Amino acid sequence: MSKMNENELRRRLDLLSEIKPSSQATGHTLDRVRRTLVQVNKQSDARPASLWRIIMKSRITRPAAAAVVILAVMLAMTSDWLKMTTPAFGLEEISKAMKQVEHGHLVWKVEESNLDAETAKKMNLGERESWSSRHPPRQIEKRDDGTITCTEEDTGLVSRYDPASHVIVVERGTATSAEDLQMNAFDRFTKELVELKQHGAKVEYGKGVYEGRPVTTITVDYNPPGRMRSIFSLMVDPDAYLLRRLTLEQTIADKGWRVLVSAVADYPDSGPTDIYEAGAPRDAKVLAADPAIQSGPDVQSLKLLAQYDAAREHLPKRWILVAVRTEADDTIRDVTIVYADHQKERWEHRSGPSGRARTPADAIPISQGFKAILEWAHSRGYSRLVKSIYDGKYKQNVSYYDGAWHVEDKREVDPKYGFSGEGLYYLGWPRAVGRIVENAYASQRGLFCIEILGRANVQQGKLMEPARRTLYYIDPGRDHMCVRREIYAYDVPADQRQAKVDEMDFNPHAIPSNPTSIREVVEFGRLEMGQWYPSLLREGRAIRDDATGQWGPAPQASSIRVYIQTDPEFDAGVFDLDCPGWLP
Amino acid sequence: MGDRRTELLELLDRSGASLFALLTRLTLRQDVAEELMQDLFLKLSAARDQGGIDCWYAYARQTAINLAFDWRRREQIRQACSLDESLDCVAPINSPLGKLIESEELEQVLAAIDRLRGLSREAFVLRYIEQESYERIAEQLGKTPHHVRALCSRAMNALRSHVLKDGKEVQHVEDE
Repeated sequence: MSKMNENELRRRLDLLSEIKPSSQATGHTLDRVRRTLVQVNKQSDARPASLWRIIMKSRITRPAAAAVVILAVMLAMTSDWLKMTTPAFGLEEISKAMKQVEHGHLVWKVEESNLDAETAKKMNLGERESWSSRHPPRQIEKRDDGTITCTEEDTGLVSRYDPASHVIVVERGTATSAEDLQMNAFDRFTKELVELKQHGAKVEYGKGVYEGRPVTTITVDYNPPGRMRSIFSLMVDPDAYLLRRLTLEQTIADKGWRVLVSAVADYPDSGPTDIYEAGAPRDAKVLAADPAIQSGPDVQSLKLLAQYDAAREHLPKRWILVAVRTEADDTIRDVTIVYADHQKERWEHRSGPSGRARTPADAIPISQGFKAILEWAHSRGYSRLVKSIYDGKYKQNVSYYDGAWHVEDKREVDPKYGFSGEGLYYLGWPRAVGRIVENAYASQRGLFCIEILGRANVQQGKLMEPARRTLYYIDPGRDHMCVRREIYAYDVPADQRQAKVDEMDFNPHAIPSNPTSIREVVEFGRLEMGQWYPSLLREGRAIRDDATGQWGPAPQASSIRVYIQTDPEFDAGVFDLDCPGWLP
Repeated sequence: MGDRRTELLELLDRSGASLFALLTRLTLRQDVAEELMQDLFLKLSAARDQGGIDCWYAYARQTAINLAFDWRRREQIRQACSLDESLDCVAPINSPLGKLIESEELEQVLAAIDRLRGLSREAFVLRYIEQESYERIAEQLGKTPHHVRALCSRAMNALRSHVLKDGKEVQHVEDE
């Protein structure tokens, strides 16, 4: 195991805690569990639970997915595949015929034993329709719950109609060349066949009759001892050389379980080539989603974090920090004071007083030196105060709010977790990792840009969280410190929280083109040992105009000024929990 | 609708997302977490009565943690793909989390946590990965906050002293 220091352990635990599954995966998983719970109650009296486990874990969408893949393969057959798999079958003609097909239409359904109709419907079993067109290249699927998906393969646009919200969400994915599409389908199906053959599957070719007409049949029978048996069966028109019917039957004989996927293909002269032609209502609200939204860190950003850690390893152990936050009008909102001496820390945060005119920032006695700034900070009045001392073993929090003091009990704390997290070590790091991206701002300034994207979270037609994009700019020339953070996300107006998506007056799937919040370091300080720190940060947040519904630019809303003294002389008892004056 | 199912559906609505997130964090794979969610609720549906939704939540988290670490151990000795799994490969998963798996360090941290035992492991996961307060953890585990702090502290010491420094085995931290 690689060697890592304690800071890395803590940060990796933080990384683990920051991992979030996508909202799409969460919604899908919860729906699946919900269906299981509904069904398991109905089935529990009739069958042992273990059987239900087998059924639910069989993932009934797999055969359906396989059916779609097979159709895609049949529509995009290559002669190489035909030669390799069935040299004696004379499928060159089929290949040629399939390449002449302009529109393919598949009606297919999944049936599972021991399910009532209501449950089958909830599990999205039942019928589906799929269309494929060659010019323009489109793939359209329509479920019997009314959901329609249209994929434009040449542009990468994917439109999804959700009848629950009456909304069409359009996402821009990656365009796929026809060649790539063929190769992908080819690779997939070949892989399946090869694997099945390696596991002992039998492949037979023969002749049969379908709807009174002769057909050529291809059957793949995979029947491992003691396990689920799978039989693929394809029927091909021997005159037109086109796929007509496909079935996949899976059974567990001793459990009495069976699933059957059946599909019928035809090749009409015309078919839908967009989502409306497939049945989506014209009055559905159309929302554009931003492209390729994803979340989660990549390895490169973890390396940046490690470099930041390395630069912070030799920070001074004794210091005092005063941070002053000011409002847009340059009046003081709050003050934070931190003392640190190795494993000991004293932390204090004073805010307010509210209801009175705030002190202007020019009251800070900057010209008189750090000692004067510290005394000034301690002399400030407050409406709310929170302070803590960690003496290296015990920690105690004391706070004042609502006109009263609140004193917590002393508690023993591991030295690693005694600190407030606002000290020198944390100054400048965004405490987030994501994906490294390139943009003009970063490249012109020699910065790394870490991007974190999140999809809008819509559950049952209601908005839980809008799409969000955050950019962190990391300066390798200044200890890999974060020097700028941009957030692109609309704040959901209070009256629209958890509203139906189609009732909102903005698109929650869209990410604003301009940042709605910017925080950046505008002045840097440097310690005697050479480490950089941010001495002045500014932050602005866009304001929404309720009348127009538009968000304005992100004006400066607040600043943070940081003053640091290293290796100071501490007052007696500053880290002492029993020091007179510590408790109110 | 049976009482048990009602309770579990309520649990799913209230805490399903957080349970799924917990499983994802502990397995680093959404697809595995999805399967374990199925297992989790099937186990819950067959479990003895827990006496209320809050108790169900505590029990569900404990069971989820155990399932995740059981899976991690099974994964190490996983046999060749079954037919189901080969079909699953038809839809390759290319999630951002897939990249995260490349981070050997996170896997190592999880493997080290796996070597903790019982309440220590559960308390540690709730504190440092789920970032719950000691008081909240204590409520769920039926212990005092002081006891939970002690459990977490010893677990952290074990990881730090036996994994992070010399890379050798983590000593087993037993429950009190």
